[in-house]
Amino acid sequence: MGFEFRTWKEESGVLGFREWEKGRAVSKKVEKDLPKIAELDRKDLIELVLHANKKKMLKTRLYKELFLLSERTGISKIMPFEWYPANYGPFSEKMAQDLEQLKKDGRIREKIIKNRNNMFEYELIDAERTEKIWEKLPGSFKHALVEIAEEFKDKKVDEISHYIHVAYPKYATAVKC
Amino acid sequence: MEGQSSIIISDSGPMINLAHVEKLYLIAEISPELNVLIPQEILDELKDSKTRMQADELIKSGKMSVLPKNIDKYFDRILPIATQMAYVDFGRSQSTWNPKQHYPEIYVILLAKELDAAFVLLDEDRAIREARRQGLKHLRHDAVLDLACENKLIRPEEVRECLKKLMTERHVRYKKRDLLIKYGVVD
Repeated sequence: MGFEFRTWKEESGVLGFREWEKGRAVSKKVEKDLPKIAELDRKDLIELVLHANKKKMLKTRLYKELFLLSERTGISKIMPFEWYPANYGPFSEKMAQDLEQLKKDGRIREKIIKNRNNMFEYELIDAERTEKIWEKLPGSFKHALVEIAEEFKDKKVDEISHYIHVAYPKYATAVKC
Repeated sequence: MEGQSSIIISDSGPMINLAHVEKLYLIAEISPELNVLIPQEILDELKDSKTRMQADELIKSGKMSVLPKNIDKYFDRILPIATQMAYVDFGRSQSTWNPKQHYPEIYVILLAKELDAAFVLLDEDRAIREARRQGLKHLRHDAVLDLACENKLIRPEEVRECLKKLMTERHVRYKKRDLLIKYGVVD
C-alpha cells in the first residue's frame, strides 16, 4: 500500500505550509546564534535532544526530532548530518556513527524494549555534563529544542514519521509517495 | 536544508479556480515572504478573461512575476513523465491518448525543482503526486483559501461561499470532508 494523506490539511498542502513557516521563523531567530552553536559537535546535539526529552527516547523518535531540529534551525549549514530518504523517513549515517561513538564513550545507554517490538531506546548517562552545555546554549536554540519536544511529546512515533513524510517530501522515499 | 526558499510557482488550475471566486490575489497575500512566479506558457493558458484580468493585476502591481518562455529546454524531461501519466489516463479509460495535456503541469514541476521553489501551486492529484516524487511541497487552491482565512485575510463565511461556488459552478470535488465541515459547507 502506497503513501496516503490522512487529512485534508495534509492533502491540500496546509500542513507543509505551516511547517515551512515554522522553519522560516525559527531559523531567523537562531541565525545570529549559529557561531555559538558551531562550538558544539553533533554528539553534543544528540545529547541535547535527549536532555530536552527527559533524558530518554526511542531511537526513531530521536532521529525524527533531530531531523526536525536541523531543518527548522538551519544548523545543517554548520553541522552536516547529510540526511537522505530511507524506508522509515530521513536517515543520517553520520548520526548512526555518532550514536555508536556515544555508546562506546559511555555517554549514552542503549536498551532494547522487548514489549515494544524490540525497539531501541537511548538514555543519557552523564546528565550533569549535558546540563552544563544546556545552560550555556543561546536562548533561541534552547527554545527550538523545547518546542520540538513539546510539540511531539504526545505523538506516536508513527505519527511523527507521517508528519515528516507529508511536510518534507524531499526526504520521503519514492515507494511511499 | 529546506525552508530557505521563498519561491512559489503556479500552474493554471489553481489560478483559474481562485480567479473564479475573485480570490486570485490571495496567492500573493498568504505570506509576505513568498515570491509568486508564473511561467509565460502558463500565463498564456489563462484564456478566460476573468482569470487573465486578475492575473494581469497581480503582475502589474509587482506581486507576481512572469518567467520567460523556456518549455523547449525541458521537453526531454517532460516527455517521459507525460507519457507515463497518459498511460494511467488511458488505462482508466478517462480520456484518449493525450500526453500533451500534461506538459504544462510537468513543466511547472520541473521548473520549481530547478529553482528550488518552496512550493508549487497545483490542483490535480497526479501532478501533486509527481511534485512530491520530485521532492516538492505543494499547495492547492483550497489551501490558499484556508490559509488566507486563518491569517484573517478573508472571513470563514467567504470561504464557505467560495467552496460552494467552486463545487456547483466548476464541479470541484473535495475528497476529504474535514475542509467542508470546517467551513460549514456540510454538517
